[in-house]
Amino acid sequence: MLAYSVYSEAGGVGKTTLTANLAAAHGRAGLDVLCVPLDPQDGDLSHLLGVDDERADGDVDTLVHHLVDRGQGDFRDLIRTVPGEGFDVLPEHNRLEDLGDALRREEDAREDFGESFPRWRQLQRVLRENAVHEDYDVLLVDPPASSGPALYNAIDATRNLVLPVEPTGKGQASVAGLQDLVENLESQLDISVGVLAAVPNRVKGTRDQSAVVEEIEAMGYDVPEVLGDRASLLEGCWRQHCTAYTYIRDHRDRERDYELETLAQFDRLARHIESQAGIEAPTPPEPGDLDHRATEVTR
Amino acid sequence: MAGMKSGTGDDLWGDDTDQEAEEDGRRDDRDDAVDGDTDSAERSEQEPSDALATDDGSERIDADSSRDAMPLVVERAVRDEGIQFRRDDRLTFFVRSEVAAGERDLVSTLENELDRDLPKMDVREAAYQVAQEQPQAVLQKLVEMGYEHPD
Repeated sequence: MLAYSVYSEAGGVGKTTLTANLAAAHGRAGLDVLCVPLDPQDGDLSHLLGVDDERADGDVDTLVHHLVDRGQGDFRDLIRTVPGEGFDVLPEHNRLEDLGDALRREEDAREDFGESFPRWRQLQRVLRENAVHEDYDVLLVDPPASSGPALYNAIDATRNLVLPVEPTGKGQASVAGLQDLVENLESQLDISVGVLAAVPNRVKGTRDQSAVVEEIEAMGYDVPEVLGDRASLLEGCWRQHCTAYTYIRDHRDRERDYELETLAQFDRLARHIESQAGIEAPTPPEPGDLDHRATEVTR
Repeated sequence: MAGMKSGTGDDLWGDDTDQEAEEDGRRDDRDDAVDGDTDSAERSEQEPSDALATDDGSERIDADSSRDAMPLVVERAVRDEGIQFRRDDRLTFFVRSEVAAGERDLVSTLENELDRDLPKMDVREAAYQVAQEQPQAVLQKLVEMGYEHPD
């Protein structure tokens, strides 16, 4: 199973929409995809895809319950197939806001009995115990922008990153800051983390583009695609609670070439990421081909 | 290039693995803030289990069959544990940059000597044990630093 976290230290770089569209891109090529977003806020992945109806329900079983080993039900029952998109999501719940505290309390409780509880490895444990890697080909984790227990769990469970980057000075500083963070985590946890791709997003012009691509490539990372500014398309996705593929197919009165090209970019990005991990999708579409339907994930 | 590399990181979820390798019951990640290593440019270490696979002879540093306990590194590899196996205490110390650079050189030298990658935590522990066995040498260093011997 290919596993990666889509991470940016800066908010508002299109991390969530990138995650959703990559999931759709992998899924429509015939791979079984699970998204585990960990960023409970108004504009989160669960809201984008319209699966956050239970986020505020204090009585339901959640991922947080399972992370502190107090699952209230079958882990599989937490997962929802997103209708018409071809991938599965484990919806965010507001409990994620207190994940750090929940993990610490569990650690303290176990310590009283001489048991260990590595706070940053619980997501990996939950995934492994539930054999997620046997049922899914791709796991995408969408951690919050701030560093903390959700991010550390994400990195520990996936070991790979895809980095959306803003094409401004802040963008490059974010990548450098992330390098420090990841290096520290690597040595602390004795793990190795790879960057599958850096994705400049909302790039407005060719001059912006070449400067940012050069800087990132100078750091040694692949920049397979540079995403342009697609505000109208993305706003449409948020309004209709869907991915760009669905929005253009079902909600655009006419197809615009530059938007189809964006779909093609998501497709090519997904292929690049898959090839990095040595995975071959069974039915990859012609990039941007809207008639290639998303395959429904069956359990 | 220092830092997280391009390409894939650890493969936790490969088809043929059912690794419990990452579970380390003794890991102490109590702190939210990750301690900044002074030489964070160092690349992360090999998994101990990998090391065992590629170097069948060199793990057994002290291959004395009359010993009851396995050497630390061997036991760690056999149990597929992480670098903090058996290490329940954490020391954090701040160093001058030349000391951090010296550590890189030391690790490099030893890696050449043993012909394999070495986790720097192992090198540090070994170095510190040597220092503890040679208090006079440490004293000499303190004198060089500026401490005065009462004599």
